[in-house]
Amino acid sequence: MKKTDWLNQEIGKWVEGRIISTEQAEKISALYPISGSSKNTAATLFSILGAICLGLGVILLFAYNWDQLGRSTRTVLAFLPLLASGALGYWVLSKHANSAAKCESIAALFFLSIGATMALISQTYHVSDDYNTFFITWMLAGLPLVYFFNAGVPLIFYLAGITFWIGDCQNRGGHALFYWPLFLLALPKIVEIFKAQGESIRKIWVAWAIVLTQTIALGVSLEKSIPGLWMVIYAFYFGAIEWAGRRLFPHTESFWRNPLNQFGRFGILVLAYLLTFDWPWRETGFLYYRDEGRYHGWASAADYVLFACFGFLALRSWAENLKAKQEELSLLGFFPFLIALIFALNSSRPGFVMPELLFNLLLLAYGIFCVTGGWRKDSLKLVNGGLAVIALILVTRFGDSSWGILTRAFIFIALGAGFLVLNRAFSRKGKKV
Amino acid sequence: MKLKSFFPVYLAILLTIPAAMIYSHEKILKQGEVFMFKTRPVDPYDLFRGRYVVLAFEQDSFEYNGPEYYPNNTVVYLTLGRDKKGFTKIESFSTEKPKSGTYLRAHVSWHEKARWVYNAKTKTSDAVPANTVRFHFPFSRFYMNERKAPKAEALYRDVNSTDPKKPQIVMAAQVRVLNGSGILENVLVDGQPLAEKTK
Repeated sequence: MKKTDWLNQEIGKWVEGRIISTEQAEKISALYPISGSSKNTAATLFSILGAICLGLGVILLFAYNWDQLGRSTRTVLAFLPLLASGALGYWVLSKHANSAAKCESIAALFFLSIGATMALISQTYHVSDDYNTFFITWMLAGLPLVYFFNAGVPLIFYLAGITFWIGDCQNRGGHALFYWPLFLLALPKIVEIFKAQGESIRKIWVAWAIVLTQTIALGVSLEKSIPGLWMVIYAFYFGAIEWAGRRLFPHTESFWRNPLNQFGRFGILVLAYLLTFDWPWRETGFLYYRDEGRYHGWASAADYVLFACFGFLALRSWAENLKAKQEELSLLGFFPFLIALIFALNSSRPGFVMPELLFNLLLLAYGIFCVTGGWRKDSLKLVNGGLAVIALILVTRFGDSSWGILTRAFIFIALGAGFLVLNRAFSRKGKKV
Repeated sequence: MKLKSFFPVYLAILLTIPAAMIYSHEKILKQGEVFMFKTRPVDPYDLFRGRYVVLAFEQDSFEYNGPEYYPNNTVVYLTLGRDKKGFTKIESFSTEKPKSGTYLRAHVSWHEKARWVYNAKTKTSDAVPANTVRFHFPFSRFYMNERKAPKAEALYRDVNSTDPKKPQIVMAAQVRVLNGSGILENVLVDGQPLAEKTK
């Protein structure tokens, strides 16, 4: 018997003996999935991969352009993938609605079939200027599959599709703002998936799809009437997803199993690193407000709503980390508010603060804090993380020609001396211990 | 009532999407007026719809006299006419729908207000005032079989050749226009369909 199977049997006994509650049992079981469920996961994965390959194959088969078939034959053929997927879908919903493998794979195939049908018609009639319409029609037509089949794969297709669509929209001078209402259409299913107990592969995939697509979509959809406000909204966004990761995947901090949490933390650090440069701070703030040409004051309302919502969640994240006495996370969670404060100060009086210099010092301080904290707690991960931050800042600034050679020389000598003093202090402490 | 009981309704709605696409295009092809646009194709690829030739048109601009400036992507209505050889020419354009004549809905791709002209004497390029509005037509792709599309591109090179020994070829897009919409029906090379020329 496998260890996980044995453990799950024992958990059942513990619940019966009232040693642990049912809720606690579910949490423990989620950490150690039984071997049967991993077999099911493998079966689901292969059926999804099979369906996606089949769907893509159909698209390519049509893309070949069978011009000898004539227009009427091709229009009739265009309905075939849709009808076949519809019939298969009906069969799955009627007979196998509880099979995750069948539901996920048929929903994936169906989603691609809609695209194949539309593509063949566009090809037959030489429709050209409709890439934007083609994509949004496809995404909206495919979205109900997420609800009918309770499936994650079409949801991932949808999230990726609407992100691509808003990118194309913005390129053509349209409004990328429509991303948010489109995202809201999928939100009920996203909430349902995240509310489910355990850390299923579907939950992890959807979390990955959200962080990857929304991190791009956020930047594209912001109106940016107040130049530079993006940095504050992004900082709050990373704080918010860090909080969401902790809430939705409470039992793991692994990069692959909890992308929200890790992406949030990594995102704040990457953003803080970008702010050590001069370019994000040029001509930013309320004094450079723009409301003409491609910028629309009214569309900025969404920026302010996102600012408030993400800001609230980032504040919660910080407060919870502070309460749990998570020192490094509390410091990292405070970064979004520092970014907001420095942005506000720089906006009201440009040149009053030297934001890029402040962020260099802040990251350096954070790196040192992690090294010392890691050393105290005997955590090699934290020490290495801190050293990586310090090394990144030092290497970047060493080669930064915007700072004078002499200035850099003095800064590096001062830093070197500081590190040597720190090293001496630690050595003494080590001897005492 | 369970959600899955609505599945047949969803399926029916889904089928109306391709049906509506087919109906609107067929209507233009059956009832639309034929216009021939002189063209020059090149050969790229679409991820979903396969290989196609991009059509660039000789008559895609209008020398404008008015004071207005038309930003990129402005929707305009082009009133279409024919030159002595029967090829399409743009007679006028407006941001309002014309009340008479055959018109085509298009987008402004570029309103050229100045043109750089090389001055051989000073060996510099000088900006010369211009007022040309260039348009983007709703039909710029002609989907072809992947074996035929490269041959179409080779034909394109012949069309554009300045070599007097090469035969002069005329390539034209046959477009059906109805109520502002235009559908590309065929591409003709010296009056013969491009698909046949590239067999």
